[in-house]
Amino acid sequence: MRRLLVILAALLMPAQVHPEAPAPNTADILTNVLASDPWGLTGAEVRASAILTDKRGSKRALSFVAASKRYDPPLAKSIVRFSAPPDLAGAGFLQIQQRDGDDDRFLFLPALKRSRRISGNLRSTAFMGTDFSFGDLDRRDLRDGDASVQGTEKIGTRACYILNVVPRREDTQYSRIELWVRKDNFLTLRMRMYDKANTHIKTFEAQEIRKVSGSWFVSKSLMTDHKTQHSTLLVLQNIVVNAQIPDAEFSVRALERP
Amino acid sequence: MNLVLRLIQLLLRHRLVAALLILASVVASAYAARTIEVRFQYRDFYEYEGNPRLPLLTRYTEEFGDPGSFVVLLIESRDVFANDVLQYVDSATRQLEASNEFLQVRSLTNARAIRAAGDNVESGPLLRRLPVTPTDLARMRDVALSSSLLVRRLVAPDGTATAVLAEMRTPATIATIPQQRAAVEVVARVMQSIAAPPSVHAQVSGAPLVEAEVTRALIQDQLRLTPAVILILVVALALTFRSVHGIVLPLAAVTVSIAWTAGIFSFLGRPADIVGSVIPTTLLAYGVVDPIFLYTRYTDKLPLYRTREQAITEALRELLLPCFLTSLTTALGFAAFITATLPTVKYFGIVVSIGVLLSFLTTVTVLPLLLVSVSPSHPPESKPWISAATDSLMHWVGQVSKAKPELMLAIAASTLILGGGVASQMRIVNEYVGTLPHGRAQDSVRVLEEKLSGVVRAVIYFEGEVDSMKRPEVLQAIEAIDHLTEQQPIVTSSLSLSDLVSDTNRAFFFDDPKEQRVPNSAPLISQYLSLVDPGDLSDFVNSDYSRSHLRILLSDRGSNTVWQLLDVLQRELDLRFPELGIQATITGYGVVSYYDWDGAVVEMLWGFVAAFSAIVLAQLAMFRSWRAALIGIVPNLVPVSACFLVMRVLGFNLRFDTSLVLCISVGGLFNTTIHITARILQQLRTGAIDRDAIVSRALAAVGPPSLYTAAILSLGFSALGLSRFPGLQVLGLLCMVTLLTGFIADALFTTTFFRLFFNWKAAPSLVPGVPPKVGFESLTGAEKESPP
Repeated sequence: MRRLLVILAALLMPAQVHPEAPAPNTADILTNVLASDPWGLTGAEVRASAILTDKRGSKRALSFVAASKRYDPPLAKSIVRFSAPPDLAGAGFLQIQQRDGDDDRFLFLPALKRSRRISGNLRSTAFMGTDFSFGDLDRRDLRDGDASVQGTEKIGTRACYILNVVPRREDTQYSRIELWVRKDNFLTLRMRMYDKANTHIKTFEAQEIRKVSGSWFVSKSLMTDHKTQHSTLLVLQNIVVNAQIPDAEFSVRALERP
Repeated sequence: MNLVLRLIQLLLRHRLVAALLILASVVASAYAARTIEVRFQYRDFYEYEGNPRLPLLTRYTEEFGDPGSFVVLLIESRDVFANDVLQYVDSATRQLEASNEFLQVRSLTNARAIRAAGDNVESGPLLRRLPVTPTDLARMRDVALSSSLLVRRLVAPDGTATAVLAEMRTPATIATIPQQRAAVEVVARVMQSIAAPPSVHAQVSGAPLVEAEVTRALIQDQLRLTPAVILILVVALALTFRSVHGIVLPLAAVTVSIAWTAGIFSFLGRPADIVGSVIPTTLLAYGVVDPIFLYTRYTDKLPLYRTREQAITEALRELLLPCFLTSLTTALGFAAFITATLPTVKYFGIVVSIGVLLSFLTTVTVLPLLLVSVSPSHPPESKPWISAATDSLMHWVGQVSKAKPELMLAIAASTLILGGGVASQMRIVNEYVGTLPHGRAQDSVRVLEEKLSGVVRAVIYFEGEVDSMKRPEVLQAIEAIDHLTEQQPIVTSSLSLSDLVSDTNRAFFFDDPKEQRVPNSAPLISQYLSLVDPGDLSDFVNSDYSRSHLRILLSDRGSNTVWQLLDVLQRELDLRFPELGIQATITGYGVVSYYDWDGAVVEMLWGFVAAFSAIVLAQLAMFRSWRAALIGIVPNLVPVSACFLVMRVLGFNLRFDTSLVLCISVGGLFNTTIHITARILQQLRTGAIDRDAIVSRALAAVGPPSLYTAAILSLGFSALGLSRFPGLQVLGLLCMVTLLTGFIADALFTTTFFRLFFNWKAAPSLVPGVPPKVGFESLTGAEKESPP
């Protein structure tokens, strides 16, 4: 009888429902976005190319190798060395992000056979002639911005959060940035940047994403500047995650090494 | 002519229907005319089909944009590198950046430059944050004033002025005046909304302001000039006829013709620009002449006939042909400008030509209709004092020309020789700034010229293979041309890709002034250029480095100084660039505009010659006497010579707006000649043989009304003196001189030449259809006919 009662109780007791994970709040979403490394610039070695297309359809290709390492998350060091076109081959760029103040930046021009420290506020300046500004790549506007979730939307089959980020820094070139962030991996699939007059001036679209060693990367993306009708297609051809690059590789000496 | 008379009589018999039709046509014309846009835009002068300079300019503008799209907030201060001034600049910059009106805004506070900073190379905005420490202010000043990219573009060389440049979203090539005005108003509102420091004086300038202000001045001119001309005509008519009837009816006839002309103008799709603004004055002045003649003849006939219809019919019978002939020659004079390349001159000629013919039409239709419909006031019994005075004057003139023919010949010859000599030495000198009306438009541009850059834009456009603009030898050649250009006195600034590269090179070589040059290394140049923001780089070179330019801003000292500069530059371009495989051509709005303006002056000169010749040939056809036709040449060239002499004495050059005097006066110069010739030939046909008596009677009959019409025309054009445009003021003076001198020349020289050179033995018949005793009586009706 007692056994029967135990069996009946087990049958009648509702199955334990695993509670759903609560939806992340805005701050968490943004933290996860910043923790991601879409272009492999905060802890990977990538071989990449950028195809620049002007309003007439003329194309120009850059090829480079970039190595990066997080040293004080979310801060990172990165070194980029160009291999193409021939007149840029050998040029290199070293950046060490700082939490406050200007990042440390060094530029090596092979024609001068020496590197120079580059100071100043480069945030709104384009990176090596591409449509990605330094600010777009280091994402400081997201780090120092006020974010709010505007809703959700699917891009393809993937559900995304839509974030609106208003940069707090006065030296930003944007009045706000809209992001479409995948809910599952917090990878940014789309961004729309708006200037101070709230005109939509740039669009970033992820065209291909790839998972390498457990990390997601945007292996193909297109940044379009609507003012100049110029675009940059960034393609990551080879990605090695956590390449264990020694700190010495992120130095001026390494930059000037042929 | 009989057929035409019968048609007019039919009109008079059905005057109600005719009146309604005329009223309907006036309403329809006025309604169509409401679409006429009064505007002043420089592109209206050179954007026409077939302009050989336009394709290159269009190609260049599509590549590098149009500086004419910039609204400039010019800020003056003792020293712009002060925190309070920079704060003001920064506030204005931010507010304008936040406006939807502008594509981009550039100022000292957001300008980017690559410069040396000790051992570092600093890149990005000059200004990081406000307030700035004194040390950083001094540094910022040094950097800005030594940057070829910033001096004369954003900051004056002495640091006492700076500019905020707001580029309109709508390019200047397609922007309308309302759009330009809206952009200017946004900048003005921003300027007023920010409390300026005591040391700051700010004003709005730039091409959009100029075009908007000049358009406003054009509209104000019309609101001033047209009533002024009407008032002058009212006074003249009042003095002559001394009755409301005599004022209102002729003016009503002219008004109908102007309404019809305005309606036709609206279908041409052209704006009413600075040249078109002279059309109403021209048509009012010319259009009232024939109505005066007809009205006078009608009042003379009225006592002789039972009905008003009979009186007007008889007046028309006598005056239809002569009025038609003078209107035709006037229209022919203006129509000669149809061959002009510049649309504004061509359409001026077409419209005024049509307007003059329509004025004749209303004289012989609308005026008779009004005359038979409205009872006249009783004419004054006594002879007006003015008629007695003019009769005496004509008598005296006749005596002088009869007594001293050699003196008349000498005066005519010397005027022609002097005037011809002066004319051959005259230069064509058009000015951009000099054309502008006095006031805000001109003042703001002059300050901009003085403090920053001139406003006349010239460009050397370089075209080559892909990546050619990165070649050191090409950039060094551009650098050499840039340096040569900067040494020219009228150049205020010149900017090219070589400036960008040399500034960067200097920055990478620790700010050594000796390194302000284009390096010899192609890879180094490429590497420098890769550091420049594409948005900034696109101001200098296109993305595949096959096209670049040297942008030159000039102070406006006249088109002749621009040609001298271009000669110097062209020689250098021909030496340096062909062997580099680079095509270097000179273009730019200032250059293209000046080509067209100077070309228009030449066309007006040739158009005058063509019109003059056409009218002489028309006289030959009319009078069938080559002597009579040729006699009219010298007396009608003398006023033109006199005009050139006046221009020389007063220091005026031949330019676009003053050369219009040739267009305007050629139509009116031959009127008196034709009347005198017709009167002489008419007397010969009726059997008169005494040469001196014939000429004297012709002068006595024709002189007073011709003097009167010359006076009316001159006074009408003198109203242009009220214009805000300096060129139109001068035009009014020159028209007065030319038309009055024209009458004097006819009175003295045409009569003398007839006495000396006409073949009195032969008596050519008149153009068939002209009845005997056709002629022009004095306004007093001194030669009255006996009633039928």
